[in-house]
Amino acid sequence: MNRRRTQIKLLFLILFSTLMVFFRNPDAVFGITAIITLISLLKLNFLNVKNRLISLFFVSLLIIIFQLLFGLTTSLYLRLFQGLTAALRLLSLSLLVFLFTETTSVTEIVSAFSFLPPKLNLMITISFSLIPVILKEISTIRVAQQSRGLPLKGIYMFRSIFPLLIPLLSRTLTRAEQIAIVLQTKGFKDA
Amino acid sequence: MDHTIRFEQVSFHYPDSQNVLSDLNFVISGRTFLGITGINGSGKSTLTYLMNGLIPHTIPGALMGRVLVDGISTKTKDVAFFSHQVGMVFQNPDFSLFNLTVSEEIGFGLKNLTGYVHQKQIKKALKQVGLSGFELRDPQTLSFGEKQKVCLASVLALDVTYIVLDEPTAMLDYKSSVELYRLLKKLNDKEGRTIIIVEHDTDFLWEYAKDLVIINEGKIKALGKAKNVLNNHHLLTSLGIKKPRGMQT
Repeated sequence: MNRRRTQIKLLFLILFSTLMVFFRNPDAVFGITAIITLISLLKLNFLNVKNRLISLFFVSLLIIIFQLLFGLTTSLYLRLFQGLTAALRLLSLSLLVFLFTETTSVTEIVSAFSFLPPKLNLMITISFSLIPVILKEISTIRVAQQSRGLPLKGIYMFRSIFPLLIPLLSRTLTRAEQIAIVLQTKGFKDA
Repeated sequence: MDHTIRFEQVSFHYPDSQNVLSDLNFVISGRTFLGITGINGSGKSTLTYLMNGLIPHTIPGALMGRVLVDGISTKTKDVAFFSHQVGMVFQNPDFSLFNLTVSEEIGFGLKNLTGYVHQKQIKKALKQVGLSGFELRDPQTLSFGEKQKVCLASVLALDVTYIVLDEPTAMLDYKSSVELYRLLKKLNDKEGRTIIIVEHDTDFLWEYAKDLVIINEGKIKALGKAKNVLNNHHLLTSLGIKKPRGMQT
């Protein structure tokens, strides 16, 4: 029952995202964004939605500025309008994915893919199960590097990417290698 | 049937490196509780990879000599074949668990190796490690000690003869380590499973191991009854191995 519900949610997400990309009517884009925002506010934790909206606001602002500066149309008003529509499209898509992931557990998402061949299904299971582990690892590496004096805020963020990325890659590769060995010891062929 | 793992003139080196293991000749008897110790890089983990065919089938390198598990050379059959007899538990359980529930984790090996999964087998394995009722828990939310027990349960579900553990307590606190060792002792004493454990902490080896192998630079430096080997003060000091608290002074 849960699996069917998740599959329907997933199908809806894919269909809706595809439609949103192709929607040309700005009123419809605005209306749908408003509805998704409202549903998110009603269904999810207010603080989480607020944080998501704040981070999306800056990206949206960038899109609008980019459109104003480099838009192909001559009218400033039209470029602003196009930038606004593109930003709203991104906002609605991002909120939609957020709504899906917040209301569906990892187990439910993985079970929705159970119709796939076993090898593909295992790949999805491993990928999803490792997301929280890798996120935890990123935060551990961040703390470790910060405690060694690595600045991680503002303009320094970009310069600090390698001290975070290299240990993370190293650990992820070690983990992948170990999982391949474990898969072999548990009789999984082609690990 | 006589259960043994026999090493006959075994040498091994990884590609582009010197010998990691050199001319090993020894026998691991069934029902023993064997400790393997030595300093970092001495070849302990490589030795465990030889016991179920990971070397030469999965891990690249050059293997000379042969390893016989219950009389069958690991060169002749694949890892899946030996996984029925030899179960492996690795140092970091976070690198071993990838399923979404404990039940799926334990059932994974069963499904691959036997083709079917009975909930009864999963429940029994969990009961053996003291984790009854954990079937639907997410492995990633468990404590390190519990995760390591899930790894052990997934091996027990396969009803293996040999349980090989590569530094299983390296990431555990003292309490969890003691719990794990007690569990292993019970599996050895009551169920007759052969335990082969790589361990740095000689206190645990002193208390629980029946036999002991000390490896240094890929060679066996000592082999015998655990207490006899660990009482050799001069040897332990020269190899940089900690003296157990219980040893005679």
